[in-house]
Amino acid sequence: MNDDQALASYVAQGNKHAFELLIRKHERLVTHMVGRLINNSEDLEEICQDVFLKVFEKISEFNFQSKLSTWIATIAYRHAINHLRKKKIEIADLPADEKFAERFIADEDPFDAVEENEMEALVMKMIEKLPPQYRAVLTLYHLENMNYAEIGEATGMPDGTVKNYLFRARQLLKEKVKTYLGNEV
Amino acid sequence: MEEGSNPSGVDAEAYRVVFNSLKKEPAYKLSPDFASRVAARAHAPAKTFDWDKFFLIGGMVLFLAVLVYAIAVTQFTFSAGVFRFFESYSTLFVFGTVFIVALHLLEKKLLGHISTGNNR
Repeated sequence: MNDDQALASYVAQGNKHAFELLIRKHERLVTHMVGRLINNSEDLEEICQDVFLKVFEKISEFNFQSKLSTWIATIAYRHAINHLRKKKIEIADLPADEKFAERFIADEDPFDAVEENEMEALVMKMIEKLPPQYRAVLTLYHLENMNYAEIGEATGMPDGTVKNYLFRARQLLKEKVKTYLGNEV
Repeated sequence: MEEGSNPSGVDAEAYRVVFNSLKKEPAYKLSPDFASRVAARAHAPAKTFDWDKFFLIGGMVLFLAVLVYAIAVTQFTFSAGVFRFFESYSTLFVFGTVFIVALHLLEKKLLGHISTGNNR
């Protein structure tokens, strides 16, 4: 039995300290996932709480077919997406929509030259404007170091779609950054 | 880079900025006692009695009882008193009711739209 299995089994038996440990171990993952998707710090804590309460409720059904972190990421992703749906924020199937790319890159005129750290802050702002599915795969890949299969499992997307979204999201960001860098030169 | 090629110039610089930013921790923070609070909540004993439901149902039962009592005591009929007045303006009252309900629905829809910030 590995650490995750032992921890999950203690939590399922109702051990409060084990659950607290599980939360501490995975709160970074859940916060990143939920925070990136909902873009609203007011609701962040409440949704993260709901995610962990769902984890607690369902942990006895967890069968270790995947890593515990991937399973928790799945719950976090679904909660965040449901929250967006409740708030009637559009979660379209992702676009063959070339217009989105054009709008995204052309949106806001690049202003004067920006410093490197300002540029990183700008990219963070740009990420917020990407569709939720793009934000989810970027977060799981770059911040949580998950592989395509794990991201696919967490989000319910096929591996090919995960790769495609990563590619398109990074390319959109790169094109947008280029408009700023071009202005610097 | 994305298509297996090796970007150079502004493309390479732009990718470098993007990859660095994507590795950066976002500033989302939970309160320091988050873990203990959620664990305590998960282990809190289940509510044994729902007082909200009790007062709601109790209130409705009481209201019906008083209504039945009032009807019995006053020997109420629809042709009495104020209802005779309503009868002469029935269209106006129907219109007024529909107008107020429609206004509320419209307000709810518009305010809901604004508060979700759904302006895409």
